[in-house]
Amino acid sequence: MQIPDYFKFYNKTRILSGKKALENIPYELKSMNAVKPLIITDKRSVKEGNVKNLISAYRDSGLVIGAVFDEAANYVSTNTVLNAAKLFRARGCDSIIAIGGIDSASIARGLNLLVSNKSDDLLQFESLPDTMDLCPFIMVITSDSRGRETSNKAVIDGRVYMSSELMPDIALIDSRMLKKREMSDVVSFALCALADVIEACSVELANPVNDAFAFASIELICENLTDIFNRGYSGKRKLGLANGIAISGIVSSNAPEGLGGHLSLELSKNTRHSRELCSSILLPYILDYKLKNTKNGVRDELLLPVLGIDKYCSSPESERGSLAVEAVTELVKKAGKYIPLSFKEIKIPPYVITSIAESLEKEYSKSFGKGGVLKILDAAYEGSLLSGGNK
Amino acid sequence: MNINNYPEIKSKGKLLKKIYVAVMLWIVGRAIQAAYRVDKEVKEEFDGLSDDFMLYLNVLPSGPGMIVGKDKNGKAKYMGWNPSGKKITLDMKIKNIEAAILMFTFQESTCLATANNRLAISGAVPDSMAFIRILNIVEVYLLPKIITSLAVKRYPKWSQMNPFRKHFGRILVYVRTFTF
Repeated sequence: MQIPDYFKFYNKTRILSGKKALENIPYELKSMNAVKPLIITDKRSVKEGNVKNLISAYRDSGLVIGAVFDEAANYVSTNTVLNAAKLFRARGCDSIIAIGGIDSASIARGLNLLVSNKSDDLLQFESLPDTMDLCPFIMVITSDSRGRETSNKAVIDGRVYMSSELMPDIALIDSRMLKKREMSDVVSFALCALADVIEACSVELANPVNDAFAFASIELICENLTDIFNRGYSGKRKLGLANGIAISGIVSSNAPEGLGGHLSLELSKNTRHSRELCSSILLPYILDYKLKNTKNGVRDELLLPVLGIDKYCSSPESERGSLAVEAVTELVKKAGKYIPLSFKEIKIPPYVITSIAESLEKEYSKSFGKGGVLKILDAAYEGSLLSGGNK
Repeated sequence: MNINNYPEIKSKGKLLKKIYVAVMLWIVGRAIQAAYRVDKEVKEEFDGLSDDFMLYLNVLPSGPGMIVGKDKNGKAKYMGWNPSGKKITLDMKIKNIEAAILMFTFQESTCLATANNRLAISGAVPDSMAFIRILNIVEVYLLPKIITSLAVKRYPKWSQMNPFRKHFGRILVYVRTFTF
């Protein structure tokens, strides 16, 4: 286990997961001296009954819900956050509950910044301290969650607001809130979270506490995703997967963003494909490239959460890294039934790939070698890998 | 933006569930009082508690609840549901009515509910453990084996509670619970 000379790990989020978890919200809010929450969500969550579930969990609590603000959409604008703040103040709310994906979470974080600091100007929060006094914030994880809901970032109007205090106080996972989704969404969200976690514990300064969280997340995602491929998205599998995805946000909040994160963000900006899909496609190619071409390779400990302790113990130390990459590649191959496995399949033009590679070349040439970024993108474009990670 | 499009939502009650839990708490409270007089083990456990012991087991936020404590003679007594004017030494709160339903419909044992963080306790932890042991014995008396097995961690073996003690004790506990 690697330990750097100095490290910092911060996790503000408590996870409440399992049977009747929703019913704990009033108690938890009261324990944080809050009684009137504003619910931030999207229209889909309202339509699917997630908000109804939450309201019925509130029954017998004697508390009042300030309002249900269901304006979260794919793009979070400053105006939406300001509207939410106006509603929050008009109703005298004192806490925030976000239901859904990263969009609801971003609105909730922006809103929290505004109402806690009695401001109407989001731009003043572009650089944030690590300690702030914010309103209680509960994040209810749904099938639309992709990990960043529990992270420390909010993306509003393309600007990133980042502080450890922006992490939710509580991440709540209840199987009633995990509704059926297209398998392509389930798979790409899970693989994106997996890519984020693997990247977070692949950095040189990875610390043992973050590793422990990362290993739990990787194990939960790999185990449950394999089960979901075989038996469908239901029962305990979706709860396990949601837990793994929720933990991934905590892990990525405690590590710098790596090449995979940067590349998928740039690709999604330039091509309008989702960041999750780009990240899922890139995952095996980055790992394979690292294994074959970088000095540090892939950490052999990765095999432990991916394939379990039996396989880890029975494999020679020198082969663990390549076996881990092989296993992840195999998992992505299985996902090929539901999502495309190369950029060619989703028709990303080669010139976009070249221009992104050029823009990131300078930043990553030291760790990935000269031309490394382009090689990874080229391989992902062609989809040439998928023969395993053998050296 | 018109804020009137986003109305306030007032929480409703769960009357039937509250009534069910209230009845169950009344029966359990009375049964503890009865079991103290019938079962040696319950008596020993109860006598081991402090002289001013008074337990308030309630469901947050607004009940129902039950109070069981020692009377002037040091015997177990069910003291109703209203804590006002009583010196509570052990306050066991079930965090919400749904958690209480899980416990009192025996979908979750007391131990499992504690492990699942469904109870909040203020007071001496050893006293609360003693109370849970008493509760387990009382449940063995009150319920048939098939249900009790769900409600307690381990159903007592023959060597711990022989059938004579169990069945005879059960009759006495039921008679005392519902009569005086």
